[in-house]
Amino acid sequence: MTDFGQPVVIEIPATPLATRLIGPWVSCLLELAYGEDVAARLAGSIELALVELATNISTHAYGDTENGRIRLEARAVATSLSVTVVDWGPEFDPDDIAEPEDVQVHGYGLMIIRQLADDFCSSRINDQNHWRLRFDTRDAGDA
Amino acid sequence: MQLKSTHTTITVVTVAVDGRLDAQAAPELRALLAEQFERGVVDITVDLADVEFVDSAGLAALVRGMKQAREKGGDLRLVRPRSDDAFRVFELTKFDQVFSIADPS
Repeated sequence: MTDFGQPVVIEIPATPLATRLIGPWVSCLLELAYGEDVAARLAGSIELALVELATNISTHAYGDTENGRIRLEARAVATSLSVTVVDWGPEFDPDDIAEPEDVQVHGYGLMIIRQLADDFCSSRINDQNHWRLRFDTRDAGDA
Repeated sequence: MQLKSTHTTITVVTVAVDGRLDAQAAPELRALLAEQFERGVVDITVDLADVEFVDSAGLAALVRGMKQAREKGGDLRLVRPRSDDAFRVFELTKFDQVFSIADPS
């Protein structure tokens, strides 16, 4: 495993098109830190979790606001990848959002993130929302 | 002289999607499905075999289409993505049990 030393950071516009930058970034940093096998195994699910969060931020935190930004900071340690996602939108408590109970069109983003991340929490710091996600990088067969 | 007119209405359409079905692409699929419903098509198959990524925004376009089709007495069926990553969102939301899904050829 390769320690980055410092967090690896990208900052993207809060737009649907810009969320497409997240996948290549995730694949690249997983390969750098843990190698090709871990990247192949985890890149898709981590990308999905982060894209869901970024799309939620674009839609709900910024709405029609132009020039919204989303910062993603990744830290790799021996057994997990942690990503902090920061936005400058209004305070938002994900616990206020009920899980979908019936067949509905929208409202699955947080449900998906909670299933894909091994830890998921948020906090409000200096007028920013900080979303922390941790993904275990060990294979299920690892001791 | 006898004139015989035959009117044929297309009611079954297959829509093939490739690449990414995400928040950027979903409006285009939504518009395409709406266009089919306006033409009277009520049975639609969306072929996702070559799709590489689907998120909940892409899923929403399909769910909306399925609900509209079923309200009109038809259905919106799927061909499963070959990519397990692309199919993950259906499993996580349990829509793999709601849609009628065929394996890709």
